[in-house]
Amino acid sequence: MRYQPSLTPLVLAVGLSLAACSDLLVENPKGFTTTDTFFKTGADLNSGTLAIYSAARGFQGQSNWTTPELASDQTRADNREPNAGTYGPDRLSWSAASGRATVPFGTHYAVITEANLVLAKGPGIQTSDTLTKAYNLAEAKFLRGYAYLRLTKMYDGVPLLLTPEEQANPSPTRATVEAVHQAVIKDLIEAKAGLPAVWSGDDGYGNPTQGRVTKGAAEMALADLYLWRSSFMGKNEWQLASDWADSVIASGLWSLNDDYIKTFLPSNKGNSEEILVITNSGVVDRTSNIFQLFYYPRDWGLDAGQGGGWGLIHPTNWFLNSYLPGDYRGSRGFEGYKTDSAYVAGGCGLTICADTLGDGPMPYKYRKSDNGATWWLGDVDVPLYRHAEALLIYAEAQNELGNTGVAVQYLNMIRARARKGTGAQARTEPHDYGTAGEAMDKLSVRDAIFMERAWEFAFEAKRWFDLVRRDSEEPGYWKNSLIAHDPSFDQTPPNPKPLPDEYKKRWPIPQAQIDANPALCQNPGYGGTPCPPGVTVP
Amino acid sequence: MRFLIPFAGLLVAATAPVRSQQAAAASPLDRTVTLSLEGVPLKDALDAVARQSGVRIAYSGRVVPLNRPVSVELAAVRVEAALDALLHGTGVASTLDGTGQILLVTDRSVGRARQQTGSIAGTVRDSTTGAPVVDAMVTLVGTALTAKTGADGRFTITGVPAGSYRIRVRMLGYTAALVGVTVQDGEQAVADVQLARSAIELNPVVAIGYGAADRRNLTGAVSSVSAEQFETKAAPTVTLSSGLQGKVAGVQVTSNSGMPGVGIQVRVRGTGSITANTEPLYVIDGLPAEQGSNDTDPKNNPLMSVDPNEIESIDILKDASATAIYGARGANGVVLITTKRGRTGTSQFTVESSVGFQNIAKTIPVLNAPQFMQLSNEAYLNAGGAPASVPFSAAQIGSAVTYNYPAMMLRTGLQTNQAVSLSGGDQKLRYLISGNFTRQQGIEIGSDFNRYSVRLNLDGDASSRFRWGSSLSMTRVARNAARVENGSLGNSANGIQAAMQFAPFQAPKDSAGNWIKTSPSTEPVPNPIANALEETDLNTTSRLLGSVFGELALSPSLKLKGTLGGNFQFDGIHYFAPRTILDGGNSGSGWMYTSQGRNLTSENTITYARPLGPGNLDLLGGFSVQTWYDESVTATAAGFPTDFTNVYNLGSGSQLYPPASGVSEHALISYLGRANYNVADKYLFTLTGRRDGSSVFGANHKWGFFPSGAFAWRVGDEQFMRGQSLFSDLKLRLSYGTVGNQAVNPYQSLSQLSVGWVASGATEIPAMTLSSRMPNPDLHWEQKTEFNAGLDGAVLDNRVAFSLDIYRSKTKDLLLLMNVPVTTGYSQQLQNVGSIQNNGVELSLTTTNISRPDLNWRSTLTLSHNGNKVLDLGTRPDTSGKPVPITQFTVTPRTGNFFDAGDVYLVRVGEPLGAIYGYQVTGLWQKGDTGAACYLTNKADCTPGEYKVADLNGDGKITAADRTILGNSQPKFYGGFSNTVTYGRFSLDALFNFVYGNKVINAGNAYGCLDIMQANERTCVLDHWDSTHTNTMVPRPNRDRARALYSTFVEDGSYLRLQTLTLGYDLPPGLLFGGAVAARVYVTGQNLVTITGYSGFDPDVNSQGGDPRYGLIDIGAYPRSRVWNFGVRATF
Repeated sequence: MRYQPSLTPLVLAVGLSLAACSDLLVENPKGFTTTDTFFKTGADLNSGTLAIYSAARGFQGQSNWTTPELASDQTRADNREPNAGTYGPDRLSWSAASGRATVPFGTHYAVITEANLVLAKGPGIQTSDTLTKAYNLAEAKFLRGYAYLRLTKMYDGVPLLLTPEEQANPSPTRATVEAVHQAVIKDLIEAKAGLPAVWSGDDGYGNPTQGRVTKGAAEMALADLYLWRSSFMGKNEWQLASDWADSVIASGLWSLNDDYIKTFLPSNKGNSEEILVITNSGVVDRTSNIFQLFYYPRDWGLDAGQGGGWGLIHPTNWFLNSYLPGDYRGSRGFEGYKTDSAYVAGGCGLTICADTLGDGPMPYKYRKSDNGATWWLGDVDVPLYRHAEALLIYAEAQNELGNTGVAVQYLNMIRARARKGTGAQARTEPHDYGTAGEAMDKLSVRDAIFMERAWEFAFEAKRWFDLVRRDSEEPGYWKNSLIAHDPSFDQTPPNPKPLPDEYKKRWPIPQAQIDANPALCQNPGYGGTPCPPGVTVP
Repeated sequence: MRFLIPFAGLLVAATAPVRSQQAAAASPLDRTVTLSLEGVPLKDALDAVARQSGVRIAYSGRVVPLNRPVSVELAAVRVEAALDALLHGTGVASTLDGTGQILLVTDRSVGRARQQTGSIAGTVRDSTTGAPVVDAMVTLVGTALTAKTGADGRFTITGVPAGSYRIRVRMLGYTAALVGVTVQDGEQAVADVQLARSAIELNPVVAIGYGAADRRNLTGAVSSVSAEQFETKAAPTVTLSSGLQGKVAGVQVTSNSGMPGVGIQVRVRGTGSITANTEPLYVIDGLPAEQGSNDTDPKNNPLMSVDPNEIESIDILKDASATAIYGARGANGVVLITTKRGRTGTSQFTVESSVGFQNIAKTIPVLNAPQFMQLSNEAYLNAGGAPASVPFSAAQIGSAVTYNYPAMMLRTGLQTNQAVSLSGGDQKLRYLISGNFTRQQGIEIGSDFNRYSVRLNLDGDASSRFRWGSSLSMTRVARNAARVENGSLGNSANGIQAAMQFAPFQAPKDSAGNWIKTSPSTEPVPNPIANALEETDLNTTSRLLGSVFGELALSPSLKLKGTLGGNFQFDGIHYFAPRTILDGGNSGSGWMYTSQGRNLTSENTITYARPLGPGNLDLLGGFSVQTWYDESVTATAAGFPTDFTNVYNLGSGSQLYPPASGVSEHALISYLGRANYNVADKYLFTLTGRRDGSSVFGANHKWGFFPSGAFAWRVGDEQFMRGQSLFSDLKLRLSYGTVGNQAVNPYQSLSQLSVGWVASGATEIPAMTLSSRMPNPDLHWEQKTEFNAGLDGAVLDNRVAFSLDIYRSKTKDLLLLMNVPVTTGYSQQLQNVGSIQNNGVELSLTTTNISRPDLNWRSTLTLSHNGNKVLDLGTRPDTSGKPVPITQFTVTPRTGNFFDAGDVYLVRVGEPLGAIYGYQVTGLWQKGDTGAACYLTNKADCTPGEYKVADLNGDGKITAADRTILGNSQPKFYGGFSNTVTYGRFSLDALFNFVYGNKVINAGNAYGCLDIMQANERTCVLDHWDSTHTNTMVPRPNRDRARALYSTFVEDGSYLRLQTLTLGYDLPPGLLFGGAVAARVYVTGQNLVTITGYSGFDPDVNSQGGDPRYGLIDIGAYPRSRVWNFGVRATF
């Protein structure tokens, strides 16, 4: 070519720029890390462990929380609530394709995924802080086991995936309930062995530890598991339920607060009654939560066009009227946000007053520290296991084992605390069970324990599971309770409501998940492929 | 015969064919040749003369400077004259030897001849108006001497050797003129020229990406819009892309609403993607500045920051052959924007100023207070409410006062445009400096649009071998949009929709003068008047776009060009809600967002041209690197001691939210090449290829190659066409090629960990959590393969010119977000699956209806049809793990929870995108009707006056499974019809737009005519069913009616609109003021008449913007205004 001399520098320039450019195509993100670059140090492992807790914050989300709440006979949706997505759980109007009952499936696998990642990466991490590393692995086991336990309580058997490699399988099938429970037991027992009874103030990496799981939480989860297996599955493992509850009680680390309400107050975080909680800081919206808005009166919130409540979850009339007169846990205040009662029935919000709330009294045990002045300051910790439940599981197990007297003794501990009212009161109700001529037979005491659970754990998303598991012991209990107590199933003429569908005791595997993985079978009543024996509880 | 050497990147003008002149010539020197050459080597020119005339030309390379570039424009001149022109200034003369061969020898007479020269001067005027023609190119035929006319139309050519010449004057839009003139030594000859407006400009130069080409030589499908269509006629066109509407065949422009500076969708040849970007690539002055974005945010539209007055031309590359030079970014079409540049000649100063006002084009009445209260009571009772507790008592209804919220929301908006430009220069340096300022008040209070920009374009010839240039513009756009644009309904409604929902009996302020924050209706709509007046929502975009290039001609046929460019964008949002309105809470809340992005480009090309075999070959090769970097930060706070400080003291808030920041980077490395082979100017071949490497894709698929080929046959130039007189021009084009769509966000192929949060007590702790997106190391481009056939021609002596294209494209490996089982730990993965097809026909027709000296009428019609079809959506496994095709999925709009079910769009194999999915209403239940399937609230029996919904699956219940496709938002055809009439000094331009056969969800009616009375509704509900008025489709009032998408709310969006009408007047010389050489006054009306059956504000609406899966939806969008604009433009 004639122009070769002139072309040489050009060729050189292009060549040089090429050499400099080829790295441009490799992505080096600055704003986040990747699984390949993370999990190198003990601090990374601890951060990955906290990510499991972060995923578990989903347990307080609207679908996970309000589905069992509203579906039970204890609560109903606000009559002014216009959205089907919100009142749907109250009417059990969910299907595999829509509704809130499908959502928890994914929430729990998010927890399991983070836990599996920690358990896969953790053992290979070299760190001088072997104590925290051991705790982290135990925390991951607890949270994984607890998530699987919760899944079985909603869906029965689910895919049992215990490593990232197993999770990579795009078409896992549902394991039997028994297989999942054995994995849960293994996780929880190992977690109990590895977890501290009490955390020191610092996790070794400068973070406070309130809200981290403990040995007591693992024991509670085991008690809960055996309670479920014994009642819902008819396994008669009451002794194990009793033993694990007793180990919580006997540890001496946990106790009842004098003031029932104080257990839930943000000013009393980390109190000795809270064995397992989801902690909400209230600092900003990323670790505060809308949870409280479900319960804050709509009259002073949404309907007033200002911060405060959605007023979603009301007590049913049956439940509101079920308290023994004078029970602090059923007290109704008319002083608005200044009330010191467990329910608020009127009075003044921050700027708006309403003598009576438009759709009846609202629960008032979850109180933000700003009393509803803003909608964003969500700093109430959400209780998952409380010491009171250890006592009542123990009471129930003892009753089923035939030790009715012991059962009543533990039941009355709960009542005795309630009589203390705001702390130093000496109320007459609820009186000790048995002192007013109540029957002391097993069935009556069982009834009393279940009612006590309803009062004590009101609005703690436990009642639905109590209805479901007792239905196995006393067929029809679930349906009859809903019909008798919940206006959604009111049979009063002239417009009787449709009866609850029996199959809805079990929630549906989300249709979207079956679409993505047709190897998943479906629970009875929701269509789809039936499951092999053992996957669902007959 | 005619001979022509095209050269990529340089203009090669065309001349009319001259035929059959050769035979009778006696001497070889008397034979005639036609040459149209610019900047070609002398040797090539001599070869051309020899070939055309059939004479042999002998010369020595030592005597004749064979590489000297020459430019001549010769039409049928004698060989001798042609040689004189080519050899002018070389000191070489031609002489005929005894054998009939021409010898080129050193001219002994040169010394004498060059002793003295003369000059030519004159004025070029419009033959009709007599106005000076500015920037006309004046060429002394047979020489390299040229000049351009100045602002007064005058030109001067100096240094002309004595002799007789012809001067040729050319100007776009005029027929070229040839005038004879004789120059005496040392004297100035006068040559005044009148230019007649040409019938149709058939052969303008078009930008094709990395070069330009004569339209006659194009092989691909390229549409162009010239400067004059963006100048005074379209002065109210605040944003450029809406100015494209109806002007280009195959380009569909849809705006979100009528808000100033609103987001616009530009779709070239339909929608080729389902979830990836479908907007074209914008190339401004050769710089691939920005990919348009499906995001509704108008700041992502690069056209928003270009003033229409700065545009020289817009060329839109449509088929795969044309866009393949942009490879991975070509699939959605490429919009090439060329801005005006300085030209040689006297400097020219232009001033333009206009002022206008705008009003709402159409209003929709709403209920007054007593009507609202009465119907609310009925709705309450019909829903089973107790008569004793109806919402409004008779006394309240009797004493109710009506407040007209929609009227309070609206105003007459003023708009002003000011622009100045100065341009000129000489061969060494040419310049254009311009500045403009646009201000537009919206017709809704609280909304406006402001833009100011400056531009400096420079070009220079440093030597005969090296030329350089730069383009630099700075623009700032500021929009105020305090909750005036509506994207939602019910509680979240904004702007005019909120005004139409607000309880009409409620005054906007209480007796103490405080704003009422929400409507006292079941749906507590926020007060739109308070929001618009009190809220701050200022969106700003500043853009600095600049490039420099240098071009070195190593030889006349081999050139190197290097371009460096940068596109710097700075965006800001100031949002503040004071305590006086709902959003402000009890003590105000606000946030400030700022982002900066830079996009750096280095492009290097080499071009080479040479004759090869029977034709000429042009080669282009290039290498390009482009990098992008964006970062942003947001600060949010609430609870301020005072509203006075707005967002300017966020630290004073008692609620401080965590700051947010982010960064994103990506890069594109490309090699590109193009070969054009032109045989006898009749057979044109183009091969184009580009290899792109992009950082955003998976490690396994970083590189892609995008080839295309095209062929064009200039049928009209064939011998056999000479006998006919119908076609004055005819060309057939065929092309086939593959281009890509790379529009995905960076980092999609990585296993991302992001920060999740946990709390301990009141302490927040960050934790690294997995993202919900499953990484995909195989992620790669969408690949579009397109076949195009086109026919360009002119008939009736160029009075009718047409361009017809048909195309068929298929895009495969669509970027789709697929669900994966949550048991994997992820919920979705971006995958390459599925395919989609677009078939279309485009017609562009330009006619000269009247062409008389005093009266001229021209029309252009564009008509486009695009048929879109989803072919494949991938597979999912069945129970045995075998893949089964996915046939459809539904889509929920961005603000989707209004409808129950919320997923109102459907993507289905075999259907076009944009399918609207809902319940078919067959009528209303009447008394005596029976049936189980009543309406969606599942009441046990049928209630007269309720919607009768078709039970399509026949299961006796109305469920979500009974939904069906209610229509599609893709039009059957669309286009525009523009007319220009000039009569003496008057000119009239009228542009009509039309769209036919598309469906729009009138969601404003789905709220406002649903008769649920949870907030105020439109007067259509007065026509509701009752026992005495049963012949209606408006159901009875019922507060409990499900808010589903019923077929009654899906309307035909067809329309025909008189988009702009401009009347202009060129002032006669006697009226010119202040030394102006030309001045024009005009009045423009915009959106004057719309013929449509659509019952909303305007059928050109897309409240939810860009996402191709969405159908068109009108959620009470910002209404379109009718604009009147008055302006003057003067040149000095």
